[in-house]
Amino acid sequence: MVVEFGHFALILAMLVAAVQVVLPAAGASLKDARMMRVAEPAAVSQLLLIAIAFFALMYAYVTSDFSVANVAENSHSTKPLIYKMAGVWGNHEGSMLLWVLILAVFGAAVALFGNNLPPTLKARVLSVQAAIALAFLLFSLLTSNPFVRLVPAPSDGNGLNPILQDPALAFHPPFLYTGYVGFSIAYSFAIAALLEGRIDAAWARWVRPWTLAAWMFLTIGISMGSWWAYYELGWGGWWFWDPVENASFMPWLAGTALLHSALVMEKREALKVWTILLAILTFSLSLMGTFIVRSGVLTSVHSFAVDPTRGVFILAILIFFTGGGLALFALRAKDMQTGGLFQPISREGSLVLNNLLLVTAAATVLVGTLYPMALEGLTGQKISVGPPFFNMTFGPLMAPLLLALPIGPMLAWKRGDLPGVMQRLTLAALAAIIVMVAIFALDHRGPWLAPFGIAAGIYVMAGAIIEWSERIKFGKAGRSEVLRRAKNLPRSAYGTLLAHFGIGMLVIGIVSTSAYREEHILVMKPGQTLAVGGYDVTFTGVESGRGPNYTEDFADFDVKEDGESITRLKPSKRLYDAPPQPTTEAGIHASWRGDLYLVIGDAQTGGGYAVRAYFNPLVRFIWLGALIMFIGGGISLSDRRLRVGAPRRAHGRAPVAVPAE
Amino acid sequence: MVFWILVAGLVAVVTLVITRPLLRPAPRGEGSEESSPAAAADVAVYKDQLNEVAVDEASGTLGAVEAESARSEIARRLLRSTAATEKGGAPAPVGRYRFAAYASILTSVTLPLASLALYLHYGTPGLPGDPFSARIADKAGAANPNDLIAKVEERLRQHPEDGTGWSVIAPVYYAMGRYDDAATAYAHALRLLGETPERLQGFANARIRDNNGIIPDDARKALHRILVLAPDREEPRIWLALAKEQDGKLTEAAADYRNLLDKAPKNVPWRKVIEARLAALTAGGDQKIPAGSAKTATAEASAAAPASAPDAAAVSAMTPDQRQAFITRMVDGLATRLKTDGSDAAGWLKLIRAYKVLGRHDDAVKALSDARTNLKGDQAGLARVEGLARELGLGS
Repeated sequence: MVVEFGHFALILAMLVAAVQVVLPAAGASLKDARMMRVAEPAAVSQLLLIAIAFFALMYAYVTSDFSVANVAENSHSTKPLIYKMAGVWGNHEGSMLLWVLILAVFGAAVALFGNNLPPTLKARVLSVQAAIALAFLLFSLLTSNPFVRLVPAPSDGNGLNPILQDPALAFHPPFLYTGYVGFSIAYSFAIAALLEGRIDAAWARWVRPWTLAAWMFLTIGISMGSWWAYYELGWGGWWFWDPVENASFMPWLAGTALLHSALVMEKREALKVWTILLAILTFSLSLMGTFIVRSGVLTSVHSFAVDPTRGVFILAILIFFTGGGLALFALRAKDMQTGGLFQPISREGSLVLNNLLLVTAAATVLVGTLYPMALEGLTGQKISVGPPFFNMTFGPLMAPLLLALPIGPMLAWKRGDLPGVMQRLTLAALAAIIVMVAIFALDHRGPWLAPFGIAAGIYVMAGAIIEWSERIKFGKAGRSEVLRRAKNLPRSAYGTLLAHFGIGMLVIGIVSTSAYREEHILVMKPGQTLAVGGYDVTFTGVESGRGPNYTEDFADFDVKEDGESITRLKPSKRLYDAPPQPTTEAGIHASWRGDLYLVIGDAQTGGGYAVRAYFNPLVRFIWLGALIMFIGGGISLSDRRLRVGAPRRAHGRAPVAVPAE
Repeated sequence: MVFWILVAGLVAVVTLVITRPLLRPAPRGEGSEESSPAAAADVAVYKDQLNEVAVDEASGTLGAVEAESARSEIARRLLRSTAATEKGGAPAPVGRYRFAAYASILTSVTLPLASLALYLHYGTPGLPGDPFSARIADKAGAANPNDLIAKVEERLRQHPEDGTGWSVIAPVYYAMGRYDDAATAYAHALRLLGETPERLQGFANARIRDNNGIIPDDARKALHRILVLAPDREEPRIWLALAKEQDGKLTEAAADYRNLLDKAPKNVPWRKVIEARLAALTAGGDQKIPAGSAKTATAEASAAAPASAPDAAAVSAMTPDQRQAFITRMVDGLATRLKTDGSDAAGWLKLIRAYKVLGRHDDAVKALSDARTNLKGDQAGLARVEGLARELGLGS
């Protein structure tokens, strides 16, 4: 009964979404306030209905109700509880339900907290948001209904892909989807503004926090996915440039550009039209990501099931929202007011440069992702552009971006003083050069470009700190004045500091891991010792054990550093009961220098085992950098100037279009 | 019934909540009277910003000069915004009675009807949930075979050392055609409960079926073990002869077939199959037998063999009680035979092992001492018996 009730709620949610598309938009055109107001209760009811459906499905998973086809296909009675719950979105149908749930959460948030939005804008935003929800609810019901029942129910389910049976399943998809779907708000605002024919001041206030929230979650979602791949797939790699990763990376690049252009718009009311275009493009890239992953045009752990009707349906959604958005933009953009003027050397100018580089990078990734697919579709020829293509194109685009990154925040709005800024960055450049020379002097192994990359990371990190210390007059004013300034500095400034610092760490992590990684693939017999990354690793043997729903053979390695045993690593090979599929679990020892990463392979004749051992220097910097960026985003989001959605108090809680703090 | 009440309640609440704004009188005077609400919202934003500048200036984050420039910037925007709205002259939205009324009627009719129609089309009303836990808790009585299997599987997952469980489920798997699972279950039963010809035969059959009639090595080993435990069995001999044929040892296979036919009574059902195999072998001389015919032969043999001997499949299909009785009967038969003729070392081995497996420890010890007395003259046989005694821990 619970399941059927969930099914009914999902159908009702779709109809409510249809009402929410039509009435508020009609109300906004006819200037009928009552019809516009329907949007708010509709958005909230839509959220509640989808939540009912979602939790009904989760109930079916938790109780292992195999009369639900989706549960029977993707769950198993012996699966641990956390995977029964997280398994709801570990499959195509359930993940689409999570998609629409998050979409509805965002829609309801606009409805509940958007009190200060002009009524017609709000009505139109919610109408566009509901149109997206309607499209995906229809998609769910027509092609991927999670509530299809089975009579008679099978005695047990098929189980969940063991690669997905990992705690990361509980977090990675919801975060990633929150990121993807969050950009739908920017899109809805952009379309609503185009329909309105004007960009309200409130528009600018709204787009940045929502973009920031989406960007934060996308950042952490992508980095969790990368971390998951790193420890689960057993190859010690953290990024493979595969289409699924690119699908999430493209909206991230465009979203980062959007975040920065929204900044210009908020503070200077400039770049309005460009921001609208970016908002449309960013969400379109999110939809394209959904299409690439969900349509079955490629097979991966993410695509779950291949069904051509689904692909065509999502393609139709993608064409409708991208094509429709861009067509509307082409029609209306010339009527929009353009904003303030600025000189090329200025904060605005630097953000335009940032946008140009990021958008070009996104376009590069797009070409590298779609070209092989299109070629295969048209000619049947399979090519792989792979990492070389991306390293050749993406790297050169990032270099100027990293060089300009610390300069931008130091430039004044409207017209800036480039030589002055560069002078203030001397220290950062000096630190970078020292590190670079030191690396060249100490190590001749790696590629010659690597020290430059690490130097760039140092320069970005140092630049972020210098910018901050200048703002608090560190070393120039007395201690109490510095402390007072540090305290009064807006939180958004701390957000910028952390985000840019995080980028620097990320770059250092990426470059060191890629350039100085150590890799051994060999057969080891018990008792044998291998030296890797400054550790002495002794293989002591292999034992068998049993987990809740798998059997495993785990190897035992004694890890010694300077003759002292510091840890024992137990990489294992698991064989799951249902489906009977093997997985590898890497044994990882993390330290500040980097990760020791061991994987056990098959038994060889003669009593040995295939062993892969890696040392990944500073690899943690990658995820740590992303985490710091996420935290920076959160701090910036908590800045009261941005918390514009909250109900207004007597004294202003509004953002300030202030050139400099 | 409860379901439909809940559904009706949900539809009613949602419809009411959504249409409520349509039924209320149109709001008047949103924002300031004279300008559009959009402009009013802009003004509100800029006022907030002015306040914010004042707060920042007071806290010292913003210098006086910067604050002044910020204020003039905001003022410029404010002017631009009001100028634009006055030119556009969008009037404040008002309610037009008819549209809202039509919309509310349409919505309150469409929502319940459409949702019900769509649900009846896509949904499965009245189909109760079927949670796994409830099913497991169900009494065995009316449960279907699948559920029973699920229950045993669940138990075996928790108690993988339950040999009886494995021996119960093994023939069921076999009957269902899950040969791989059957072989695994037989292997567990053999390991936990010990070897019996029936289990070995079951294991061998499952492995052979799983290999599409080709007899794998582990199945051969099992068949040889049967012949050690029960030398008078015919089924393993048939399979082993077939194995020789599959290995290409055609002359040996033919000899084995002849041997089988000579020993077997006239009316055994598998006689025809073996005769056909033999005819194929001899007619072809030393030519190779077409693979297809070997395969059909295998299938025929596997179909015929269980029918011939009541043992393997029949025993497998018995309930544990019946099987116990059957085994006891066999063991007692063997004991009687050895009383009259005590020189059969293999028989003694089998008997001791059987007693041990059946848990009749005292009988096993007695059989051991009997064997020692009877096999005085047979050094080799005595050694084997002593070996078994050590293996089973029967002591001296």
